[in-house]
Amino acid sequence: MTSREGPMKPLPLAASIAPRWGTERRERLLDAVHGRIERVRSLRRLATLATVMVALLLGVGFAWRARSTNHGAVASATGVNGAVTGVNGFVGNGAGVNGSATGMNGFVGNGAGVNGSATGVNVGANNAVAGGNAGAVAAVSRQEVRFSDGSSVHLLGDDAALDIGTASPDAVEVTLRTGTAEFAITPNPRRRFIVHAGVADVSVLGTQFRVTRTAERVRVEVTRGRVSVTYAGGTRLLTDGESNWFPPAELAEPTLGDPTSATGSTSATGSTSATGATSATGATSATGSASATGATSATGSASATAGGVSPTGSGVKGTQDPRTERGRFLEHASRGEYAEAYAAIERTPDVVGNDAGDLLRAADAARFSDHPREATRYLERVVHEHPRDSVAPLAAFTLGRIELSQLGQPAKAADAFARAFALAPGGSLAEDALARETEAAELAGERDRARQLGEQYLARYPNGRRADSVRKAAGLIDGKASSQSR
Amino acid sequence: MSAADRKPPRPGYSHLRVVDGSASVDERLDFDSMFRRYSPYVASVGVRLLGRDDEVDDLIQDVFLEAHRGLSSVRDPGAIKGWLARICVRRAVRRLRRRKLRAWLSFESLVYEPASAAIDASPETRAEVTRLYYELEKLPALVRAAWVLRHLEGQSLDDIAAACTCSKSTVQRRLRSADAVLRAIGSVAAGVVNEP
Repeated sequence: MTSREGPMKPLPLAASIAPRWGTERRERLLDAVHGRIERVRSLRRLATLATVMVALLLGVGFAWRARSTNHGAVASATGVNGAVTGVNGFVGNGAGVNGSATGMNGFVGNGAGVNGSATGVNVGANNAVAGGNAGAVAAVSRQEVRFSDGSSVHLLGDDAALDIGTASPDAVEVTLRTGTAEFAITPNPRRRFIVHAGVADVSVLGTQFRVTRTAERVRVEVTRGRVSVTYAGGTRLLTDGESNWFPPAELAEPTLGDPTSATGSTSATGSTSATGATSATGATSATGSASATGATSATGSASATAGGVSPTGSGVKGTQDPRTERGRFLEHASRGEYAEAYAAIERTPDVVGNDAGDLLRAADAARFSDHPREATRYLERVVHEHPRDSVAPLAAFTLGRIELSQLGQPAKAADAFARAFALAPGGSLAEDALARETEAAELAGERDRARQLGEQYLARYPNGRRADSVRKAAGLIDGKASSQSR
Repeated sequence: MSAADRKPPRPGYSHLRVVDGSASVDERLDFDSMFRRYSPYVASVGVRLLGRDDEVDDLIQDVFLEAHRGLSSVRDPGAIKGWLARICVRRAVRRLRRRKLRAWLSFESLVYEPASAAIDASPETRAEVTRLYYELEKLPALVRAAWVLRHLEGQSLDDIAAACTCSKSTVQRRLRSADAVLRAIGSVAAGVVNEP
């Protein structure tokens, strides 16, 4: 009965319900099972093979499509010469854009702008594709270059010609050889975008701007965002709506001024800074030799006067290639090899540019290679020459730290911290700068100043993380009370 | 020389050992050994569940094909028999349901040859077996499986629950349901199961 849970005796009828079982039937079934197992395995292998084939086909398809994109770009770029088919065939054979300059030149090379050095893509109305290294270039047409990150360059007018020297995800360097080009650059802090335009280099920080190159000067007009323009006489930051000719009018040789210089030399409002003063000094020193080289020398002597760091211009020294040396300096600095970076500076001071980034890099190289005093000179230059730069407060703060902890100059440190606070009163460094200024003032024996600063700190940051140390430094409580409260 | 001796050895499962009382504990259990050892059991359960001998070959192949896929994951050799029973019940129930569906779709009455399950029995016994399976066909497949395992295989409720992948109370409910149906139609089976 079902009430019993354990095993029970089967019905008598069950004994007669049984298969006709024997060894032969068993072995036959075993073989059949093995046959089915093998079939299942074969099917599984086929399925795997089919999956791999589909994946391969998809991969090949994507690769082909990617190659076709470059293909079309090159074709349209060379279409000026009617050589589209040949270039297509060349690229389609797998050589890609890279390193194929010879073939392209041989086929297309009737344009004036074709250069045989295989160093870049050259776009212009009368030119054609000259070479490869178009890694980050998504498309090149007769009047436009598009980069894979969405940035684009439009050539304005028939005389415009652009060389794309480096085009990688980390750095893009283009050279405007002639004419006017309009740049729309997608902001990307991990990628340097530099426009070389003869006497001026434009470092792009994510923006929209236009560059016009004439025989002697370059005009930069910023529609949106900001750019840093480095020229022989210094560095200039241009922001929304600002425009200027470079070198500025005060540096340019009067006889070299182009007909548009009267219009072009209108400096942007409010952009005059310490840089301008330095440039003026340089120009004054370079009286009588106002060529590009002369202006560079002038800068060198001006800097030497101001900071005593940059002794001579590149046009004077010349035993080492500054670009190569600069490359080494940048590489060492980016790797954190500060001793080597500083050695490069000592060999060729010109490797350090005039923009804030370069100066900070040089300061890092100096202070981390045990040259704190030299570091302070670069930091002072950042603070004084680039007060509007976002790194200026950091430079001032770092300057204060070095003066206080490495050079034992609390009074100078207090002034640097005061500058850091003044440059960005609402910035992330403001609280620390005020606190450190208080401490430095106290160490410098300026007790009244320290007290005043302490009160200011506590008023601004009543629950600040440095409140206790500030109270102590400002003499607002005694040390015992401070330690108890802590 | 038997057919088994002529065949090349097939890969085995070194972690498995026969634990039946009837064999040496140290005997390695590869797939062929497992088949030879347990296929009679699977055939017996299968023929009683299906009531037909001609479908048992397919059922055995299905069961051991599925077992082959999962054999490498078996950790307790003592559980192989119960595991095969579970696969067998699941496959048999699926076949019973499919059989009913085919019969319903063809609008024909089921053609039974349960006598094939008792081909060597006397004519009277074969008649009883035919009658029994005729009435078992009226039961749902899972209820029928529980009843067959209980009254024809003589398994405990725990074993039936494990083979049917359900609880013991579910097994009891299914057995009560089967008894009620069989009793209602006055079957010989009902008379038999009501005997103490």
